[in-house]
Amino acid sequence: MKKFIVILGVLLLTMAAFSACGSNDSPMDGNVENLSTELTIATPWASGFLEAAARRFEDMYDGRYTVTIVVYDDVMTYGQVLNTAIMSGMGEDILDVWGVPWQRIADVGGLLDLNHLISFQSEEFYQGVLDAFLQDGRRYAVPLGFRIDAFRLHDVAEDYIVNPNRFTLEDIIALSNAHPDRSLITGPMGMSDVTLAHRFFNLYFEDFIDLHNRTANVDSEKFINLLLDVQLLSESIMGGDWSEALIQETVMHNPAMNAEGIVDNTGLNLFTNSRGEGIVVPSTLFAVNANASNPALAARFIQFLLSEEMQSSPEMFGTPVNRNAAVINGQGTWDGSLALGFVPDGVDFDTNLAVFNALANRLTLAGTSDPFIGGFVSDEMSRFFVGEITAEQAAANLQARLMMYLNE
Amino acid sequence: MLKGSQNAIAFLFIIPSFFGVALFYIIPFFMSLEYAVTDRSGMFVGFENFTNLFASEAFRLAVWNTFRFMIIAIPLNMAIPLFIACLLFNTRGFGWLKTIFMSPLVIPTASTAFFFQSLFVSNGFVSRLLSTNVNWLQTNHAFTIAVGLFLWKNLGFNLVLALAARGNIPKDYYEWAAVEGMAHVPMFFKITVVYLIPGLFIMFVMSFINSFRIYRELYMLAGNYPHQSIYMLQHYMNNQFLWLNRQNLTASAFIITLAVSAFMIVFFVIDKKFEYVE
Repeated sequence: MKKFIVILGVLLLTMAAFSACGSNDSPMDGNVENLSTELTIATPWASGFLEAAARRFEDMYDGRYTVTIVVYDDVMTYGQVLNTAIMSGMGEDILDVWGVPWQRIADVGGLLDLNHLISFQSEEFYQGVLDAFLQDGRRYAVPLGFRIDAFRLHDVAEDYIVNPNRFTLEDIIALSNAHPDRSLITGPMGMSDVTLAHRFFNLYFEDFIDLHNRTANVDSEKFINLLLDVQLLSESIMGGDWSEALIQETVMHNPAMNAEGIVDNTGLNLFTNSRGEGIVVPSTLFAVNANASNPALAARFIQFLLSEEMQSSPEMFGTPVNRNAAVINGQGTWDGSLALGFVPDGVDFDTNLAVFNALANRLTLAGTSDPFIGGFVSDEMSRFFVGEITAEQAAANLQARLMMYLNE
Repeated sequence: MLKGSQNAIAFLFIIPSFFGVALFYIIPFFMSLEYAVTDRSGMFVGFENFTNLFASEAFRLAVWNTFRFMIIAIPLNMAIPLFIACLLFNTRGFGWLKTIFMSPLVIPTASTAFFFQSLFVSNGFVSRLLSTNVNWLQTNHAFTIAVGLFLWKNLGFNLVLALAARGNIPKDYYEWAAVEGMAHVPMFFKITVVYLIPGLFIMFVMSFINSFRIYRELYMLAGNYPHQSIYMLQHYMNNQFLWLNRQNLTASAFIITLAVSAFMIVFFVIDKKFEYVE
């Protein structure tokens, strides 16, 4: 019996020792030529832009490299599948990480810092948009395109703008208080109180959540006041849909794709925090897997996606982060709109672009695309706005849930 | 006691089963120790993962909730069936009650979760009854609901065990005690309780095991991140698995295994002391 136990013990120890064996070589040390010639890309959406980019990239190098796009059918589980693959030392080389908690994956070393592979300091980019996704100086995720979350005020409300360079919650309250006759104001497109509160939560995201140090600070007066202010607007003005009182419509502004946005973008305003900063809404966000077999090749492909050639292609979705491409795309759309009679008299393309650039230059915040955090916030805010819990309870609940999640 | 040759035969019978358990449980468990003492890059970090684990508020919350749940739910899951068993034992015509108590045990977990959800969500039965719109699963009452669900699900099984244990006590003891003039209350404590102890041990072990299984229902009721009062160890470990955080997962698995093993050793030592009753 003793011998049997000894043999079993030795067997177990041997297996445990062997299981620790393996290569720890870093693919970062290699270069493009000596490593894999196959590049894989994971995305939850079939994309004409990616497909076109892949074929052009292959042609550019005369077929020396192959690019394979892997489309994950189940969007809901995409993030989890991606995380499991990365943490298992696998996964595609390039990852579409919009809607995925990429900061969490990056924090545990699952993504590469692209600053080591590509230079992003260039006049040709909307720098604020790119830099919004920096995490402690590291660049794990790169947006290819973006949209501006802007809104258009009613004509009567425009007279009461407090500060044209910022539009904070306080400004909205001041505006609503200053307006003499609220009954005159109606509008076609509203916004729910939860959506508005969530927007401002994202604008002050860094005040509420420190993703790097895994802490939350939502059981604060600031968060409680945010809820109460939005509720006040909601109740005093509209009884449910505050935005109809002041805002004619919200616009995901994009001069390249949204002809309607071009028509009258001079009346657009930006949701901002008290520093006048707005949120980037990326149309796509790409990262490189830390397990990529050829990181340099992956970086080269991302660089190609950011090039004027690809960014100005008709398949590009959202406003390109490449300024030159944005002008090319915008001009094309503008001309098309002109031909169709969409562009009003007295507005020219340069004015339109100047307004757009002025708004885009103020986009410096990324918020988070973590679906868990977004879910907790929406959940507790909804419970507050339907009257199930008080603002203090919502703040305490959210704090507890966030800490539970962040501390795991 | 078995003799030497009988020992050998017994081991022969055990070997196939032991092989399976070793292959799928014991060996992987010890192999995973590597993750508990290394970081993600494979570097040896000693007990750092364990200290990180104890520093984690989420882990401490999960341990506390699981412990609190056991302390409250297990005694209730033993006392209530015992009380009902004593009431039913000498009462004729209530056999159908056993069937009713046992029925939740055979209801699938998903159905149980759906039923409790329909009771306690914001537009559920309880909220309508109280003319409110509270999602009770997201309040501090969630813990009480979890205990209630556990009792509802497991009470029947312990009732059967308690009835069987009660049935094993010879009637003669009660008759002798009655002849000696013993009153009902001392009779309960000096005969019924004492002779029920072996049965109570089995009930305890079953309740202990089943208390870990409540996670399935809680997960279906409230997902990965439920209200903080019902965030159990299995939530923590399952989430670590989902994020594939092997370091935290294995470190917590080792700690839990050690804690449960230590507890069970103490428990069986106590059990041995009561063996004379049998």
